[in-house]
Amino acid sequence: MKLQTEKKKSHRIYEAHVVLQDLTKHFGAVVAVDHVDLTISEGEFFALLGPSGCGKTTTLRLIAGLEKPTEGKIFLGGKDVTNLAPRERDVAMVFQDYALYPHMTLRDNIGYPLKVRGVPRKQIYAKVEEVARHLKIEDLLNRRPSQVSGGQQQRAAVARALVHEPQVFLFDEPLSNLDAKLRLEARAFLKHLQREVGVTTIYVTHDQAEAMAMADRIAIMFTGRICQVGSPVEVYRHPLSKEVAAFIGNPPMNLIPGHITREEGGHFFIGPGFSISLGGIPGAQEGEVFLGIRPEHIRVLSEPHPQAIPGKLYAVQPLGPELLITVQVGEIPVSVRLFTDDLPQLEEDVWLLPTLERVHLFDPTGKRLE
Amino acid sequence: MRSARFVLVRLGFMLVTSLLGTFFLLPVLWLVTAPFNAQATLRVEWPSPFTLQNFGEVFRNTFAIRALFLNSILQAGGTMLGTAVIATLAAYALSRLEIKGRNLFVYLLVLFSSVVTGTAAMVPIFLLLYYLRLIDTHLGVILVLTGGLLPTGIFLMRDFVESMPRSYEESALVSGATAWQMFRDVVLPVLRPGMMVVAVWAFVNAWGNFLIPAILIRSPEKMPAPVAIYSFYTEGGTPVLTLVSAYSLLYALPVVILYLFVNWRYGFRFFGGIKGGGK
Repeated sequence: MKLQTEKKKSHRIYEAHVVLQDLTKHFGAVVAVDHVDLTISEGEFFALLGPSGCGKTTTLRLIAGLEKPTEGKIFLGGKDVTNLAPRERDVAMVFQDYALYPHMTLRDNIGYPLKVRGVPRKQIYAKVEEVARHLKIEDLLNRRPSQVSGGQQQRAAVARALVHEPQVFLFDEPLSNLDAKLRLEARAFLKHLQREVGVTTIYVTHDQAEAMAMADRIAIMFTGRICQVGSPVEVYRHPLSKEVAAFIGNPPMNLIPGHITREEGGHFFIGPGFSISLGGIPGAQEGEVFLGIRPEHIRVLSEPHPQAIPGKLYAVQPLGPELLITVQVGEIPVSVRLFTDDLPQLEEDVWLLPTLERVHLFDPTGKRLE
Repeated sequence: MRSARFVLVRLGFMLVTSLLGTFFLLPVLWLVTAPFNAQATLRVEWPSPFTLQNFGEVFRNTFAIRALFLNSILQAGGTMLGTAVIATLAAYALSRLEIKGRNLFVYLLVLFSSVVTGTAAMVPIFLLLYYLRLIDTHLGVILVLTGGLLPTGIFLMRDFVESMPRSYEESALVSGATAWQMFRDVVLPVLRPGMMVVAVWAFVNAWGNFLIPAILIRSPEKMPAPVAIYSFYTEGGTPVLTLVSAYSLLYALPVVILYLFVNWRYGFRFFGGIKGGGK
């Protein structure tokens, strides 16, 4: 698709395409964004992930120019845009509610960014047709937003963002108004589109699966701060804090409180009613810790094992290709994912065998121990 | 037992609503029958003998016709335009800008709005317009009526503005629109149904207002219909019912037509806490 013009390609000289420097936003006494530093590369699909109220949408709105930062600077394509109005920033944004104007047809909605730039009507319509054909909504151009489905509205909103060939795409939870099936379709569609067009994309979501599935890199935000930036595999395999570990993955990582003692034969983890050897795993040191283990890195045994954690079977949920098993270890529910569709014969007493190489340790403040 | 009671309650309900309906319907029936009656009385009766003579006589009264089709249209139209435009702009500002105490401001406005056009304020208003040299002008009447209607108009419009998602405006801004383009292309069209409601409401209020023009307008050729209707009274002060009814029917028509037009073209909508209660 030839949506990129020569002018846009000249931006490729900037390795770092979007740079946030010490970005801070206060709303009265509330600190929504707290000294955020970020560098996003040209053409990258970057996700801002976090629970609601963590400041990810505010960060996006700061980049769009819809909010003024209290402190810090924003650079787009090497240019300081901190004090520029939204229209001077050459960005496009897809809103959570799509923000399609109800009184305009999809044609006029999609063409609006060109209209306000004074592009002649003929050229607008030609461009709108081209983009609409690409997004497979060319038959709907004469309809109003209320006359098309949610998925089609979403495509129209994306088309409007695409039509004026911006430097940066900003997405604010664009899939959250779609039903589960459409959402999966839209994920693939957006990811494919982004690869094809190659425009730097910042994508805000609270859905970790969405961020993992789509982004080249993810920044995880809690209470206005960025806790970790990395590829989906990195943040999944190597969470830097207990919060990140518990936020990524579905079901999230199991976190068992306990302490580590040093005895003959190495370090031992003493949990609620059990003790297992940690061998020589990195980060093991005496004191209070949280032992983190993902549900897919546990095996369920029906007999005792010296390295296994004893528990009571609580529930078994067959999900088709996999089984989700919940086991009570003391007071703590531990999730286990088994990639099988055979229901195992289990008594009430079970033993959980964690894969030691996949165990994570966090100190009481939640910091990763290594 | 229960069903008998239910029937009784229904019957009672119907009786009360029929009585109330009749009470409000009778004057309307009189208004559409009396003008065609050569010997109209205050009773509702089938026109006999049927005649259009009354309208002929009304149209010969050039003072009253000029009042209805020029002065009233000018004054009510001006008030409608002023109220709708200013209320929209003010409501937009009051909804979108962060102003401390803006809610209190709006409620105070509404609270005191009835005072402004009320009888109590007539002397200061007269003096104010006298010093502004606006006595006996259409503009004076329009300004006073607009001032009186604005607070409620702003209050009505604010509901429409608040129900418009901010993302419409934000998306326009990010799309590259200037503030004015955003307002013209997105905000105004979305608010148009609300503006229509306020416009019709302002027109009806100005159209029916007697007190303000009666006090502010001095010369007969600028008087609006509610004042001019007194030209169909005898010198002794009794109304000539045939002519008063015919003139009243003509006087009612523009409002009905306006209402039907706006309802057909835009449809009346009320948002938020004033559903259906705005008029």
